[in-house]
Amino acid sequence: MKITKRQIILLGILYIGSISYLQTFSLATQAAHQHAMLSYVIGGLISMVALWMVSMTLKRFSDRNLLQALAGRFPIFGRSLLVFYLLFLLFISARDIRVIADFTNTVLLNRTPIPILGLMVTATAVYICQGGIRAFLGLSEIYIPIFLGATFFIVLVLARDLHLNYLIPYFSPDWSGIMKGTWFVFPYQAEILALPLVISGKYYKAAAGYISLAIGSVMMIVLLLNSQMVLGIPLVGKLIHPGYEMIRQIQITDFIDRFDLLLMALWYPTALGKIAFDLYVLCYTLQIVVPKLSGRLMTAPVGALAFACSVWFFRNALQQFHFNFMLPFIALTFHLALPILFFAVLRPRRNKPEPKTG
Amino acid sequence: MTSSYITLLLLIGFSCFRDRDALREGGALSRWVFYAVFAVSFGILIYVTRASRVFYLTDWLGRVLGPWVPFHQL
Repeated sequence: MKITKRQIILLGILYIGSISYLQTFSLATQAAHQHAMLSYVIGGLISMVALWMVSMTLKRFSDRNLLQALAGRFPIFGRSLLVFYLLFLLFISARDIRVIADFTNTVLLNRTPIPILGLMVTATAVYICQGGIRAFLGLSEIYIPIFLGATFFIVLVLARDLHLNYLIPYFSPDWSGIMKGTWFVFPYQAEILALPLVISGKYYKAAAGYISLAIGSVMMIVLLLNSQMVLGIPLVGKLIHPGYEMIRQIQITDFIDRFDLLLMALWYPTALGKIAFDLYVLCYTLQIVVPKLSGRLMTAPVGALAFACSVWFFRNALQQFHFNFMLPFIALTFHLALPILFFAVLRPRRNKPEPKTG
Repeated sequence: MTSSYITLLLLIGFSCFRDRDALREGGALSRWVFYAVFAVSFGILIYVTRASRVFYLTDWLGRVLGPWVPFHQL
């Protein structure tokens, strides 16, 4: 199936710009205060370098994706490396399921148990995932333009509540705090590296990846600044979901109550799509590691495993949130060290043709 | 917690029913891994909900990685 540049851009925005709104605003603001947007800029630039290295590596293998190239070039070492990557992907899927289940439990369905919410989220993601890459592309083509429009709408209707003075002092950045903020934000932005892993070099356009990362980061910055200017810096740093609290401030008329629910309904499918794409990458990697396994058939069991791990890995929502201090340490290995390794050593064989993999 | 078990079992049953043709044609390895991963998932859910003391992976990872992380508080 042919994948266009526009579709890659939309898929990238969907992938980095859904769960990040829930997890990064508060931590980045706690660390960098009113200059938290600079953490997103720096995190975006580091992710851009990692993406550039992966894109350059992928260019050496025109007809395959990076996972196929790695397993084909280094059958044993490459697969061993992919096993670790599988564990990382399982962790990311489990975290995302838990984040959405906890968020739904906190703000929407307080009396429904978290495991039941997690199961419902996982089941939906599994059915999206079974539709293959076409399903993600369709989902992102519908919901990302709507979400971009909704973001513009949020800025517009909250314009009268934006207090620029909340960002004072403008020009005295605390660089230590900004770098701490980058520590939290980078793993979420760098998740875009999953795209060249599963999209063949024939269709993956490096420029699409960069544009996607740039638009996704700008969206995060716009919503972060909006939250900071509506709620104030101290409150954004204290709340778990400041982005949600920000949209709760929207009041269009006297008679439309809970307008946040409509905006949530527009955002929620993107989060489900993100989890589904997590599972897709996980199953695809599994298929590359064990070629005899059917990736599509593994979707439901892998989804069930990710759900079970989402309950097992984290003690509660706060502990999961606090794990963001440790997560970058693991993410740096997979999002920065691996791209450098790929860039340095992953080249096609000169003499004999590459064996087909996956 | 019983509702979680029942819901997971129902979803596993539905997946088996939905993928029955693919399971038949997918080969022995795929079939075995399919059932084994479901069994492991159900086992993990029972462990987390029934065990008196649960080993939470991120708690342990936090202890292991803690000394290497550049800062712990903001």
